[in-house]
Amino acid sequence: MNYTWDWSVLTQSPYLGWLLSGAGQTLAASAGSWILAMAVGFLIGALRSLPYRWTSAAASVYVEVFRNIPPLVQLFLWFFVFPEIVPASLGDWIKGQMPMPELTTTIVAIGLFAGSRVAEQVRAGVDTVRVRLLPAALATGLTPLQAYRLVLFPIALRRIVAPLTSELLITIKMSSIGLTIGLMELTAQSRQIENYTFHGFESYACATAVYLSIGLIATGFMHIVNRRLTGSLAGNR
Amino acid sequence: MSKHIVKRIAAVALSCAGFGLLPAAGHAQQVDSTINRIKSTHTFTIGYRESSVPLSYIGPDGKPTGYSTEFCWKIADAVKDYLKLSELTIKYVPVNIQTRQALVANGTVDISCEGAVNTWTRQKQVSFSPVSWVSAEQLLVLKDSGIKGLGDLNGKTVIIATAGTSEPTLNRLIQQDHLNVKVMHVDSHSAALLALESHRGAAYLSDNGAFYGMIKASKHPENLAVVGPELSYQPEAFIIAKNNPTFAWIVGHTMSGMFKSGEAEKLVTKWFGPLGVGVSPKLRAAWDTYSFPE
Repeated sequence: MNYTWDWSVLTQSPYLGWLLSGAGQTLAASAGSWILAMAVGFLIGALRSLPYRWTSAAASVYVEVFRNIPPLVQLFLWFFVFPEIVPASLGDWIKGQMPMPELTTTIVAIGLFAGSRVAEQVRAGVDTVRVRLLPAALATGLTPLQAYRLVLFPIALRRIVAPLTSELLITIKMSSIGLTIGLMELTAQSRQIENYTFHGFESYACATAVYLSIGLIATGFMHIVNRRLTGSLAGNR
Repeated sequence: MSKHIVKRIAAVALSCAGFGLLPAAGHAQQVDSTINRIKSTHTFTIGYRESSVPLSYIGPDGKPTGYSTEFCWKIADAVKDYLKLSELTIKYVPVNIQTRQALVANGTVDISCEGAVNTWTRQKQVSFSPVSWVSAEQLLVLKDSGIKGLGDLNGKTVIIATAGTSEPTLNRLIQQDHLNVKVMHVDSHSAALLALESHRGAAYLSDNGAFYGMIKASKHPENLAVVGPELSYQPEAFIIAKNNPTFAWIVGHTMSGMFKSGEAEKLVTKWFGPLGVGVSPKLRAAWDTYSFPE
């Protein structure tokens, strides 16, 4: 193959700066969408497990809509279509004044998509304990909200840490679709370096290593979370 | 837990070591690999773009065509004559901005026939044919935005493509003219058109070569205008693999002959004439520079 390897492009100016800022954007998009996904996921998951028909129906609609439309399409809908269907003044604000439009839209789109998946995990977790523990909790005099917050969620959360780790990793990697609307995250910056220097293998290898590191750190973090939670449950802490 | 993590780190380290072996294999370059491959396979592989009108795109009959493609047909003929082959099959492989360099480097494509801007940084990695077309960066705006030139951009959002070479130009202009602009990145020319027409950005800074295709693709071409001075010199050429003196000679010799005979100008008239564009002084100068005597 006619390829001249030159790993030094990775440390040259401005390419090193591009990679660093790309990694920063990837972290920002991942963290933002994960926080949103957890908030939405716990709310919708709880609603779905409630014994009222209308709340669970509304939550089901949310889950099915957001889970079944490809995330890339959702991203385009939020970025290109949403500003056009809201009142003109809001649309103009989104298009013109909204701070960091690409990052914000990516966080919203991925967060809401991942939220529908987290909601299913939460529902599954709550369902494993709800039948017995909800009546018991209510019988002790807790309100339904307290029963969820103090009894069901803490136990459900312990059971779903492992699948949530997978969701977190998927969310981190999915942040790369932000490049289609111009978010200059890690993959986009690697492509940019490829385009300027034609040293694509080096820049993508670096991106691979960074994704891998972020993923391993996230896995390790969730591992610690898991140990803390289940450790306290077992009472050996 | 620690055992678990040690295992995982070991797995990662092993796979990284595997990747580390790649560069060693990559150094095995031989001279004239392209021409040797053509000689043994009797196949000439042209890289084309699916929608880079009018340089290289898929025509109404489903086959690659365009201004650059026609240059490469001539090059294919010259290769056939040079190698004294009775038969030379032309194969087409689609390329895009992200894949073209890798496909030329690994030999999937013999020549990427579209329009890649020749830069010194890229020349460290690949070789280029003589200049086939010269584009320049300009602004594409909506007519009703009232933007006539760079001065009108203050406070507006300027769209640039992530896959282009426009960012350094924009940064230079921002510093030079103390412009206060917001930058919006887009992924492709079509995304840029969408962003422009939905008023997300006020102006698209890119190669004017791409504007003709965009204006043609727009539902309301009458609303679009190319404004302002030409902001840069973007000599476009075809990418070939490095370390291929024989093939580079054939490509250069063929194209030089087309510049001298007026054939190249005929191609410009054929492909760019309908768009109202002719041979620019800079393109003429590039061709004249390359019109070496036999």
